[in-house]
Amino acid sequence: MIYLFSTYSVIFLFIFLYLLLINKRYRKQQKNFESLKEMITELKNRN
Amino acid sequence: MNNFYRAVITICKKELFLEMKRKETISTMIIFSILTIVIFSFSFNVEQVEKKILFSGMLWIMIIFSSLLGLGTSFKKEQNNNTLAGLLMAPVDRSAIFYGKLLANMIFVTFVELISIPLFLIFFNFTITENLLLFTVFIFLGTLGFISIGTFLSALTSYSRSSDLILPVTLFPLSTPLLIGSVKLTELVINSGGEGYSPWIQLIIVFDIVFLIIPLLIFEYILEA
Amino acid sequence: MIKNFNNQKQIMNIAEVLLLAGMLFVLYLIFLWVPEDKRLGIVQKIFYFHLASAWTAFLAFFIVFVLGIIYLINRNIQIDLLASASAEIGILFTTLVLITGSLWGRSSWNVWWTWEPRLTTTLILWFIYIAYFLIRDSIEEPEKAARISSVYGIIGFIDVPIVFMSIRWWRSRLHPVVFGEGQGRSRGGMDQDMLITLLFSLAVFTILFLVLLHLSYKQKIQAAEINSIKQDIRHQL
Repeated sequence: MIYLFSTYSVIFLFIFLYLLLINKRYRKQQKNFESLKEMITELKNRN
Repeated sequence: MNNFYRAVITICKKELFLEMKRKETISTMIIFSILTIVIFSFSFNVEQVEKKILFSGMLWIMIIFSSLLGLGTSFKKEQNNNTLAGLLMAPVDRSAIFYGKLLANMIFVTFVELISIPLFLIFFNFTITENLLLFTVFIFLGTLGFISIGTFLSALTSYSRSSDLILPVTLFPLSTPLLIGSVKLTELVINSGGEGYSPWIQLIIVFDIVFLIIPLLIFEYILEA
Repeated sequence: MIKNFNNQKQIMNIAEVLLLAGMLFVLYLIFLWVPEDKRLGIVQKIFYFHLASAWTAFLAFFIVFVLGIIYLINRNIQIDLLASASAEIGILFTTLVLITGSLWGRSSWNVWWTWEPRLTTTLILWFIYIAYFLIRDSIEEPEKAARISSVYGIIGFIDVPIVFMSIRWWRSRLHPVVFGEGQGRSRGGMDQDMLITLLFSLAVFTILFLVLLHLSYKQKIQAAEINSIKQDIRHQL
């Protein structure tokens, strides 16, 4: 019984962790993207 | 076809010539093989354990680890002075480069084996009198498979920043069938005079053929300017 | 372009709803509907998600193989990004197969690990595709990384059946198969209700795979875009 439930919880846990991982990367990229945007406008102003 | 064959020979000759001048790779491989023998004798207490059980595994570990030294530098050394660009300019099929290197690596490793395997037998007081031919054939087929996939992966990993680290990590899992087959065959030769080897020899031959032919089809994608 | 994106979004929304409903339904089937196995007892219910994970992992690696070939032909970097997303999910499910296989082994044979052919092949598979990412991440130029990892994805997949055969022979030589693996048992002994449950879990896992693939792909596309913007800026400076 313990094994059965741990199996199913492990599966859902890992899928959840993977989703979190993708989300984390996504957030990081979003931040990166914002800072890049600022850089571009700055560059444009300088020109 | 004739052209292709000549290109293979030329590249192989170039490798041999380079090695004759520097003598780095082969000497390191031989020293390393002897070192593995010494380490085995320390770690397995070979005097007391039934040698037959450990023998074929130890032999193949020695062969594989020493070949790895040669394979690692096979393509990486072309990047130092960007000599790879020169090779790529040659008007032949790219896979000729692969087969040339393969042939050269095969010669190096066979040379090392000719020294290290007799030493292995001497150090562990082991004699193979019967079935010597079968033993040699099995060693050859196993080595051929290992060197062909190894040469291929050596080219594949030569682009990476840390190719020395990545080559073994890719090579070992992919060559599992070969390792299993070779160790089994050697074990069978020693213990039962080579009976019941047919599935294993089939396995090794299939592996050899697969990894000798696949490069013909996709090697050109690895080396692109 | 935007219209296309909206379309995609709608399809994904439908897929997500389908996934949620399907998952709940399958859990209902597994825990409440399907009868217990007479010999193995309740633990046998591990099997449904274990097999579904294995199926998903193989599907994922097969897709890496096919996309590798397509990439080498048409050189579209998006194809390669999709392949790498698939490989990542393949590793996720291979890890799950190993863990659930281990739990299964512990409960029915009282050992955490056996060198059983399928389990061992799965372990080797895991190593092969971990190496896929080691190679990929250690090559700087994205175009080169794509090319090399496509070649590796093809080679790796071709190797899998040989690995499986060799390990199977290796094990069966040492001692005869005890655990009732392989022929005769898996299909012959299976009850119809169990088969239905199994098929449903395979279907749900396939949808789960597609949803995860889409999410991961979107993230990788964005990462590639950011990288190219960065390169542009570097050129400008």
